[in-house]
Amino acid sequence: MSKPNKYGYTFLSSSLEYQNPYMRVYKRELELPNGRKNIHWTVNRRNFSIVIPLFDDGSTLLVGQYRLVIDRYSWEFCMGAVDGLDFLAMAKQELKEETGYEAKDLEPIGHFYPANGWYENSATVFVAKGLSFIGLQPEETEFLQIKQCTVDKVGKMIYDGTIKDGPTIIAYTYLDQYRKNQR
Amino acid sequence: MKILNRKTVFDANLFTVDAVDLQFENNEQATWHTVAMKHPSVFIVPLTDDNQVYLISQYRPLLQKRHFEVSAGFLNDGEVSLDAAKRELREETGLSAENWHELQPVQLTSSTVRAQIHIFLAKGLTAGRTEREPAEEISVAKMPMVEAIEKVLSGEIDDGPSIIALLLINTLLQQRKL
Repeated sequence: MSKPNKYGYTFLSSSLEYQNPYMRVYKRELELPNGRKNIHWTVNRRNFSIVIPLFDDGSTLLVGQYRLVIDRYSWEFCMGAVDGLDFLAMAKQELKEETGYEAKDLEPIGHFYPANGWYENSATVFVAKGLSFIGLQPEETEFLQIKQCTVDKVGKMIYDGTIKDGPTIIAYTYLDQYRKNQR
Repeated sequence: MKILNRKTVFDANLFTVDAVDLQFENNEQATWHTVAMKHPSVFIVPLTDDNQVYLISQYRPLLQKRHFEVSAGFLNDGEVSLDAAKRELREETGLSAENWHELQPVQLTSSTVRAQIHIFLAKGLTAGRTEREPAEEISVAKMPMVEAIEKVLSGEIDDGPSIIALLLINTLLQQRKL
């Protein structure tokens, strides 16, 4: 904790200031290369996976639900976090739970930090192919709606401001590039 | 879904943790915890007439590495997003801009953190002096927009809002909507 790292920053202390079953808040003190001290408050939650199912006809699935945090109905790609699972296993489970589909292939196409100043977690984006419907568990979908639409339609919904969910927008941009590379 | 009660259970410098008591349509009740940033943030993409973009490179203690990012910051109390964007761009890069275009605001996440992001395209640039905060060790890099997009797609730029800002603006410019 006490030696400067290769960028010249020294971590002086780190304390857990708040926690509940879903998140921890840390106060981290560090010394800058110029000797000044700085306090960082950070949120640690869970890493998460985003899954974009891609059907042979070029369509995909969006999941719609009311989102308390932003107080609006939100269409998003399937995503979520599961304790104790790696990115790939989380992707498989979230796809099955939210859409009822299983995929033969899950390919990672991007990885990002939602907010690198204060949010400690990261996300991996997967494309899911070779899809077969295995059925939904009713209790999982009580508040979810599923919509099948073309990938281009998702793009339109982003550019006209219908989709405002950051992780969905980021995942789309990786998907857009992935499709260009496939051609 | 009905919100029965909302209270702040923890207050950090930049954000609060709130406990929200909810009642679902089937009458079940639950308490959810959300994080709310106290201020929205602005992200600015300064673009020259020959399609060069200015990015900043900054050490991020959280991830323990230097990152290329879009110039950004939080709104001050009572400040509107455009003024914050002008201020942050000047402070971090020394640039001022004649033409400002604001995109539709987006949300950093919908599930756990309430943080609104205002994205700006700044054109008609003039160089000037930077006014960095003492804690900011920032360097500025100028590169073609296509190179910045390549850095996003290769994963070298992996900061969420920077990805959103660069790719939305790049696409909207290609579609001639900006």
